[in-house]
Order: sequence, then structure tokens, then C-alpha cells
Amino acid sequence: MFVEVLDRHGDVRSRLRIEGEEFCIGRAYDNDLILDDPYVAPHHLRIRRLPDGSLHAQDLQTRNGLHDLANGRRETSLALDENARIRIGHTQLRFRSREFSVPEELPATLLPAPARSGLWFYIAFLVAAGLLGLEAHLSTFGEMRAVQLLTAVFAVLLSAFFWTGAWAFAGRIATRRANFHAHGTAVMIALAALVCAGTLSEYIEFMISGDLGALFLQAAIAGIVIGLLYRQMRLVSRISPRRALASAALLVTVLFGSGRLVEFATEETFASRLDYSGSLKAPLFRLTDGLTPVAFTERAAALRDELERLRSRP
Amino acid sequence: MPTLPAADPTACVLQALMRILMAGLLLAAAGWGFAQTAPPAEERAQQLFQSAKGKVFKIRVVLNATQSQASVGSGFAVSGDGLVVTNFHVISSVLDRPEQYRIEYVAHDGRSGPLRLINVDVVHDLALLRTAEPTPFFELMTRGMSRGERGFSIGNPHDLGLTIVEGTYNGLITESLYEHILFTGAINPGMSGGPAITREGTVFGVNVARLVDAQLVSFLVPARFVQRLIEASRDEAAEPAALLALARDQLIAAQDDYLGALLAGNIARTGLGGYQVPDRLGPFMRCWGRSEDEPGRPYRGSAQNCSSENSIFVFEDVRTGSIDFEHVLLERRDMNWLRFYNLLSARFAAGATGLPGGREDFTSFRCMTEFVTNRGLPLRVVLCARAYKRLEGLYDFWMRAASIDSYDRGLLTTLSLTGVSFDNGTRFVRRYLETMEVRP
Repeated sequence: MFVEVLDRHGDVRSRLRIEGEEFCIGRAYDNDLILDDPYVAPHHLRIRRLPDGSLHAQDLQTRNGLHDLANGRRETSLALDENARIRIGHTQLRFRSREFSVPEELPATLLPAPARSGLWFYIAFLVAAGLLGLEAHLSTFGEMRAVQLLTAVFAVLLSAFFWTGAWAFAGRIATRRANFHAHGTAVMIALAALVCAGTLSEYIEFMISGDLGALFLQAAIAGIVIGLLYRQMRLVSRISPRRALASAALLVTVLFGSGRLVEFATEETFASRLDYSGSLKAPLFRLTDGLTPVAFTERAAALRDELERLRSRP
Repeated sequence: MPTLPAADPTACVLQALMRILMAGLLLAAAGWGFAQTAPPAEERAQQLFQSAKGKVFKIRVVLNATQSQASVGSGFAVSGDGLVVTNFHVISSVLDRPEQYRIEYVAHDGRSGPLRLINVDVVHDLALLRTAEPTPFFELMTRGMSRGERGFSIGNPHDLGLTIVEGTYNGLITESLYEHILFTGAINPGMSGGPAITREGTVFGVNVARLVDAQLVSFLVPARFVQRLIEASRDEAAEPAALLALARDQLIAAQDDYLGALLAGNIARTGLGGYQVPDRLGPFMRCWGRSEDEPGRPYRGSAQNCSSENSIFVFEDVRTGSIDFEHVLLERRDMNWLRFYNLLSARFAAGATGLPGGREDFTSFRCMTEFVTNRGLPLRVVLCARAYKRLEGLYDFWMRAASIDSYDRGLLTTLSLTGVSFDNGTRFVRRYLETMEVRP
């Protein structure tokens, strides 16, 4: 029979074979198993082997007692069956015999990949920083100074680092693994994807239509955020893939939904702002032939109908 | 108003209008000043003042809720049975919110009484009212006047009491959408609606506005519009709602007039960096050019804007009947074309702040963006419009077009057209776009 000391997560911290007729557990150094738990008595538990070979635990009249985790009750003595779990003080103990059957091994692909020394993180970081820099360069029209470029990129990267750090910290607490590089890689990839999606949506707006560009941008942002949250939730907890995906999607839906709700609540209220598709790209990206001025102004009749509808609304 | 100080050539029409302080409505904004009358005219002015003071009134718009005056202007009697003329803008708040305001007159001796609205001419900023009492009155001038002739403007500047100001008649401003007399004299806020009289004591104009930041540049409504308004009026009080409908018809007719004339002819055009663009549409427009070059900038820019610098006051925050446009030419220098087009895109999307005006008077803007090609010149065009809520059939248009024919230069042109019918608006937009082409 083995006694196993478990940690908070149920993982085995140490394991000891129980030998002899009597086995004592407590904080004092004359015990067979010494626990450093301050809530455990110096002499807390005595385990005896009965004539039939089974084990029986006896509480040595301690203040905090012996708890059977199978039913949560405090007991003065307890028969230790196969896989019995008890608590003394703040410590969980589990008892298993050599006959205890363990499940088949998992296929190696499902095991977490060995840490790859953050190479991917650095690659993703460079890609994201490069794209941010390019974006800043292409949309600054004054005299270009390196310091401007750096500040533009730096602010975004700094917040990305804070985000990464927060998740890594959460992971460190929840699973004892920070996985900073894995989080960082996910964040950098998401950042790069956001920059690309923004630019792409402008081109879609110009080449196809303003509505489609706006739709694409929203869908892309939702997709990227869901992907990022899924990955990070998987990294910081033992959540199943389905549940992680569902929670990420739910979170994004709530976020987008509340945005929509605000929009809906304020919709059709007056705005003196002009809301138009203002993307302009080089001649290369013009796919369709233009209307004649006559056809263009004929199409404006639709505006008139819409304005008439707005005007007649109370 | 037609003139703009040359010191500030970039001002657009709205800025120009803001500086033309509508007398009587912004009393708090102006300072003090005393005019000095030349000795030979002194006696004349004294006599004129003596005979005129019984015929000129302070016009008060009173807020019913607090019984306090909301705005103050001047007015004058034009008939013995109590017809009084003032500016439309002095009493427009009564049309805006009839349930909140009423109009009163105060005579020079302190007598006061209610005034009822009879008729309005919103385009020429005139209103006709009636008192219940008989009163001495002015004759309207029938003879012509010559430039340089002395005139006297009477009114109630800053609510300080009746004042007479001597000035000079400087002719009709014909280079304007809406005709005015240029009067060189110190007209101040509060004198709006007061008469400008000749030496014989007949009315030749109505004080209407002055140019702020200028010296003694004032404007009068010619007396013939007063005559026309009296002739067109039936002598009975009219409901504010009916007068608002009338004002709307006058605005529709006015824009039909000037846009009809513009659309009947050819739109003037000019060359700008290899493009043909609309030019000054007529003498009523002022145009200014400016350069956007700055050392260190990786592109060159130049711009031209034209403005009618003229609009019609309807309500405090509703001014209409203006037309202005701006062309900006950008040329690529030390940047790649991808970045250059991002610059054009930013400029194309910028300025979407819209036009002034609140939800009570306007709908939101609705816009469309399309590719348009005119004579081989491909353009990206945004057209936005909004409807006037209380003036049915009137719209504001805003259009911006950008050329997409070259990797080295780009033309952005912006047109704004306020207070026009939908058909006139789209017709003008079409004609505007049809002038644009590439021609070296």
C-alpha cells in the first residue's frame, strides 16, 4: 500500500510505501511520514495493518481530526480502502495498493509540446513590430522621424506585453506554468493579424464596397479575438477545447453585443457628422468602371427616399 | 455678405458669416464706440432725428416664461395705421418657437404695445408687423441715389437708446447672391431693422448687418424690397406656421432663381495641375488660393477655394443658401506611392465633421460613395445630403471627389451647397462633375 500526499490541484507531491504493522503520520520527527502542515498534530494518525491485511486509520484524539473525503465527514477511525482519500489538517492523503489499475497511456501527440526556448515568440514579435512600424510609416505624412515611428510602435507593443504578462501571471497561479512565450506568441500573432485585417478591410472597402469592408473588419476582429482568448484560456487552465472555444465565443459575443446594443439604443438619433466610406487607394486597385455623372446623380434618388423617411419620422 | 477682409483669404463662407454679426442678436459680444459727426451735417442730423424719433421703435422679442427680452432690434413705421418694418432675423425666434415668444415695440417716449406679424421676406431679411395704434411714418424713397450721397442710419445700438449715425451710400452690391446696399457707417448690433434715411427723411434702406473686423462696412436692404413686401401683404395677422411655410416657398424660389441661372449657362472651369476643375461661378463668389508647401514635407500641395460668402438667416443656427467649393492638388515628392495614396485617403476621409445645425431642423446626413468616370478621368465620389425638417423640400448637399488616375498627383475637390431642392442639388453636382477632366 502507498500513501500519497496531494497538492491543491490533486497532483501527487510525494509518495511513500507503508511497511510494517504500524505506520504513524504527524508533524513530529518520530513519525513514519512527517508532514510540515501546521494544522497537523505532532502525532496525528496511526495506521494499523489488520490480520486480513487491510489498513485501518485511527485519529490520535487531535484537535483538527480525520476527515473522510469520500463523504466529507469527520471520523475517529476509518478503514482505508483502495483509493481512499482523507484530509488531516490542510493536507490531503490518498491510499493506493500495488493492484491499483492505471489507465492506458495517452498518444504522445496530445502531450504539451516541449518548450521551444521562445523562438516562435521572437519571430512573432518581430513580425508584429515590423507590421506596426510599416503601418505607422505608411500613414505618417510629415517629415518622417525615427522617434515618431518608435513611439507609435512602442505604445502598442507595451500594452501587448502587459496583456501577455497578466495572462502569464494567471497561468502561473492556476497551473504553476507561466508559459510567457506561448502567450506572447499568441498575442503577437493576433496583433499582426489585426493590423493586416485593418488594412485589408480598407482595400475591400475601396475595391468592392464600403459595407463589405466594414463587415469584414468586424468579422476579422471577432475571429482574431476568439482565437486569442481560446489559446490563452487553454494555456492557463485545464479547460477542454470545446469549453474554451465556447467561452471565448460567448465573451466576444457579449462584448460585440453590448457594443451593438449601445449602437441600437442611439441609432437614428441625430448626427451632424458625415458617415461615408472614405477609403481611397491607388489606380491599380480600382476594379470597376466608373458611372457617368448622369448615372451617379440618378442613383442619388435613393438618398432622397431615405431622407424623406428620416424626415417623416417623429 | 459680399466682402471679406483680404487679410484672411482662407476663410470659408461660414467663418465669414460668423464675422458678420447679425445686429440685435448678439448684444453681449460687441464693445463700445462713439461716432463723431462732422459739424456741417450736425444741424441736419438734429432735425432728422427730431422728425424721425416718433417713427422708429425698439422691437423686443419677449420670452413668455420669464417676461424678459430675448433679443432686441429696431423697426420703423411705414404707414399711418401702424405697419412696422424690421428685419426677419430680429423676430425669427417667434417663427422658430411661437409658443415661447411674443413681439413688442417700445416707442421713444416709453410707450409700448404688442406687435403682430403680417408678412415676411426671409430672402431679403424683412418682416412686416402691425401695431394697434396710429403713428407717424416714413415715406419710402422713390428716386435713385448716387454713390457718395450722405445717409443717416437710425436704431437702438446695444439697447442704449435711439441713435442716429451718419454714413455714406456706396451703391448696390450686385456681386452677391442677395442684393444689398453698401453703407459706410457705424451700424451696431441692436440697430437691425432700423431705417437708413436720406437728407429729405425718406427711407432708402433697412439696417441689416455689418462686417465684423472691418471699419464701418455695413449693409442695408434696399427700400424697394420693403415696398414689394408691403404690396404683397394683405393687412391681416398671419399665423407663425403659415409664415414659416411662406418663408420656405421664398427659399425654394430663391434657389430656383440663382441655380436656374447657373445651370442654364456653362460652369466656368480652370486648370489646376493638369486637371480641369470648376472655377468661380460668377461675380457673387470670392476665390482664394493657398499653398501647402512646407520644408521637409514629402509632398507638395496647393488649394483654391471659392465661396458665395452669403447666406440667408432663417433661425439662429439655420443659415442657408450658400455655395462653396475647394480644390486641393497634392503632388508626390519624396514618398512612395503607397504612402502617397494613404495621404490622399486620409485627406479624402477627413473633414467628415459635417455642417452646423441641430436635430430640430435637420435630418442626419445620408451618404453614398461610388466610382465615377468623366471624360476618361476616374474619380471616387462621395455624395451626402440631409433634409430640412421644417422647410420641406430643401436639402443640404456635400460632395467630395478624388481623382484616381495617377500615382504622382491627386486632386480632391469638395462642394457644399446649402438650402437647395433635391433636383437642383443633384443637377448641380452632375454639372460640377462634368467639368472635371484631365487636360494638360
